[in-house]
Amino acid sequence: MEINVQYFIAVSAILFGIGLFGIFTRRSPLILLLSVEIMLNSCNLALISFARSNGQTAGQTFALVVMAVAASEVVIGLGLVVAMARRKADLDVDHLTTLRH
Amino acid sequence: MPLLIGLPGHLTYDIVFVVATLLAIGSALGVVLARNPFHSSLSLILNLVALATFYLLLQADFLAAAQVIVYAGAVMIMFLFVTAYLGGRGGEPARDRPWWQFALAAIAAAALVAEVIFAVVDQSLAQGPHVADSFGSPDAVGTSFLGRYLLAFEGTSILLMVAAVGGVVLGSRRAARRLPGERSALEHELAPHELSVQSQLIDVETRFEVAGTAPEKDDA
Amino acid sequence: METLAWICLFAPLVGMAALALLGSRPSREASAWLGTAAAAVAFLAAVGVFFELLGKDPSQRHFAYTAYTWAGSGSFKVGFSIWIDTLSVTEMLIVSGVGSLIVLYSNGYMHGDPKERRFFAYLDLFLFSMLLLVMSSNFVLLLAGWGLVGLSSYLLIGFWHERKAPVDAAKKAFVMNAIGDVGIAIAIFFMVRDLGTTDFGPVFQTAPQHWARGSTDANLVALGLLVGAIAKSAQIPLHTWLPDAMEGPTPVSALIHAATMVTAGVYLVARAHVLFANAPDVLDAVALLGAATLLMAGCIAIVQTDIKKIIAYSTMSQIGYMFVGVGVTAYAAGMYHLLAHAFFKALLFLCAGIVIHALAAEQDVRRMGGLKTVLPRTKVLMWVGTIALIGFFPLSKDEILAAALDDGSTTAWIGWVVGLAGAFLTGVYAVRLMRLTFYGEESEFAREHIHKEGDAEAPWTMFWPCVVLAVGTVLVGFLSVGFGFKNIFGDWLSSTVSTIEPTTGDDLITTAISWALGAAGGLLVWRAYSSPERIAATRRRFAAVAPVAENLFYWDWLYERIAYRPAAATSAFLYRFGERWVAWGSLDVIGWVARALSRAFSEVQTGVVRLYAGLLVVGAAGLAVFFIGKANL
Repeated sequence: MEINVQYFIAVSAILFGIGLFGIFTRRSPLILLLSVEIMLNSCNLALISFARSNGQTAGQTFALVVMAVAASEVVIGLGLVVAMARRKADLDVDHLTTLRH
Repeated sequence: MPLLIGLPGHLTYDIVFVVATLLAIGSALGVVLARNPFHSSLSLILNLVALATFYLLLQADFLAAAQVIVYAGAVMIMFLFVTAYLGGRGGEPARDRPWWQFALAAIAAAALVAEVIFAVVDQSLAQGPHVADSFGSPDAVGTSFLGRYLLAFEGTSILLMVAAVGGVVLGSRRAARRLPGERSALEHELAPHELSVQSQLIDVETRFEVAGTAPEKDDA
Repeated sequence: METLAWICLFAPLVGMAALALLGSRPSREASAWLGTAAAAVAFLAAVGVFFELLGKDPSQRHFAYTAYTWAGSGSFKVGFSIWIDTLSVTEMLIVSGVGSLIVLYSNGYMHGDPKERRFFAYLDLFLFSMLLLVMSSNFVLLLAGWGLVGLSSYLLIGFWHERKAPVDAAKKAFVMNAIGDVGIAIAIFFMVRDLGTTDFGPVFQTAPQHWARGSTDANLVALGLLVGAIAKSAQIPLHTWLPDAMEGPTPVSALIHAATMVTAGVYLVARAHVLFANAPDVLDAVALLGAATLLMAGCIAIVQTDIKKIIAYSTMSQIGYMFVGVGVTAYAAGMYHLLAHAFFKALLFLCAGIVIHALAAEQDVRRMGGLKTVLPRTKVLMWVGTIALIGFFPLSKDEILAAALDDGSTTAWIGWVVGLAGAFLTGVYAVRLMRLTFYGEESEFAREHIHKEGDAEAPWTMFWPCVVLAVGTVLVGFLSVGFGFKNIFGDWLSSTVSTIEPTTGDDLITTAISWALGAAGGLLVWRAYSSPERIAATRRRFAAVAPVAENLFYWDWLYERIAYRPAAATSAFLYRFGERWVAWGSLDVIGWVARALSRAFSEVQTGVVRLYAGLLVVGAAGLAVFFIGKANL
């Protein structure tokens, strides 16, 4: 079967854009992480589409790695959110600015 | 532009694609726009499932399964737990922003999307090659991962270990009791400034509690 | 001969270097004797060169020796080379001979001064510079010596630099001499452009061919050299620095501003006589400027009250005579007066120094008087100098004037008449000096402040050089007496420069008139000071014109207004706007810009995650546009 992967790439781009919009718009770190998840997944979709269009498994392998990375990042991120919540810090990304130094 | 496969009889394929697309985009918007963090998390689960459908359409069977099990199964459960722990603090209305920030964000995102689509359209991606049926099978992925990309495999395992350690460290409570007034090594380093929120988080040995209000905005 | 010539040139330089390097390790007396020894070595070497040159045939008396090529560009080369002929040997002897005597004198005069060693180092530097000037064999090296002499003069005038007056005088001398340097440089530029060389021999041979006699180029070259000569020899209009230069110690005044440096201008005209002969108008200007200067300086000298300033204006006047001499092409006559003047003017200055030294640094003649009883021998020596100054013997002045009469041109006539008038003035101020200092009633001041070393009027290092100079003055007189007798000096110089031999008749007339005028002036002034009533009467008679002379003919007043004030205003303006705003301001602007930029850039680091994400997206979008556009086009 021959597949025209353009549309998949288009969907991936749209999802990426939505994730980006979420990053720009939301203030809660939790929702921010969710938006990042959306973006990562869209990248995965693109990878797998290209794997299919080139006929190579490498794209799928890499998508697996990305999944692992996303999971690790979620662990750390959620850990941070929980720790912040435990110390009763304000969960507002705009106020957490001291990491700039 | 003809649909995915110009051959008749594969209409099912196209219908599934369209439905999955609508689901994916809709759930993504739901994640981003929902007020309740719980709703956002659930929307994301739906998004992940839609993506799994995409993977199936692209003959990445193993990855579809992994997506559902790992992502939708494990990662999202974590999200739901944390959302539950946070209660109402997890989200905040997306609307109390100046309207032009929304506009700007929308434009930026749309611009990026448009570029990618423009780049992709009428390319030679049009006719993908024939692939064997075992293209996305666990066999194929495993051979690739443990064969050619073994280094990536090992790296990934290290990464996972690091994440696990980090998660434990971040989640633990105070380790040792200290005398009141005694400061830890990190505190000494950061004196005389007030400890930033982040450094307070990392230093698990402090005793004192941060006040309920937000820390001062550091306008240096 | 070559070795001796180089020794003569470099001995003072070695002395100076030794004094500079040894610093304060030797005692002051030892340093002084070291400086004196260096000068003496130079003199002995000069004598050696003189005798060797004497042994040669007159037509063979010129040699050039080159040490190495000092500078060059393309085919134009300047060598570090010296030129030995009768003119330069004459100057060498004067400079090193009179110079050594004065250095010896300084041992006594500067004794006890805390910076005595530096003084002798400077003196040796001056001797080297002056010898370089007179021995150089091309104009560029001459200019180098010229400038070094100006530097030595600056250092020595401002020797007592803790006081303001010497420093100001040194600056004034240096700046005015710098104007002269520019003149010579312009002349050198012409030579390089048109002749391709500045060596004396080739220049003097090819100059008349390249520049037509009386053409603009020839005039400009001679004019440039003339400006240099005027500045260095303190003639009108660049003369105002000489009286101020008396702020320096008396040996400096004797050596530099009487015997040697100020006569460098005369030497230059004599040396470059070919170039001046090629521009007869400029040569006339030389004579006329000399005449004007000798008259003006004579008038001013009559009303001066500082013993050294009287002698300084006298120097200015006598150099005017020398300029008249070389201006009417009587070069040997001018040089002869230079030689005689070196002796008797140095004698006058050194004796004045003895007087000053005895009166504990008092220089105002109005506070002196009646010193003949306490300083009898100095009085005799000073009379020898005064007689020579007025022109009784040696007859150098008369030789110039007689030559002028003989020449017959209009300029020469003017020179003759003015010169004779100057003889009258010379009689007046010279005898006035002696009268006020040594005769009359002993002043209170003199009685209280006189100090002698036992019976001697001065230390032997100060006294005996004066004796030698007095004897030399008399002996020099026999080198050229005129009246048809053999002109030894003129013959000696004839291998280098020509001269005018006046007829015996012209000589007799001139000498008679000048003697008469000189004696008349002396007797008149003697009588004028013989009683208070006469002094008052004289003062009344000249009350109208005296202020002109007392204000130095208003030259300083003029220069202050047309030169100093505009320059000071310009530099103040440039400091306020150029220096402060442009130079410092630009640095400030650079600093401000750097700080502003860094402040602007640091605004980006807000710590807000979404801002960073936004910037990432913008950047990514830009790159994507770029690459996709490139791929598609």
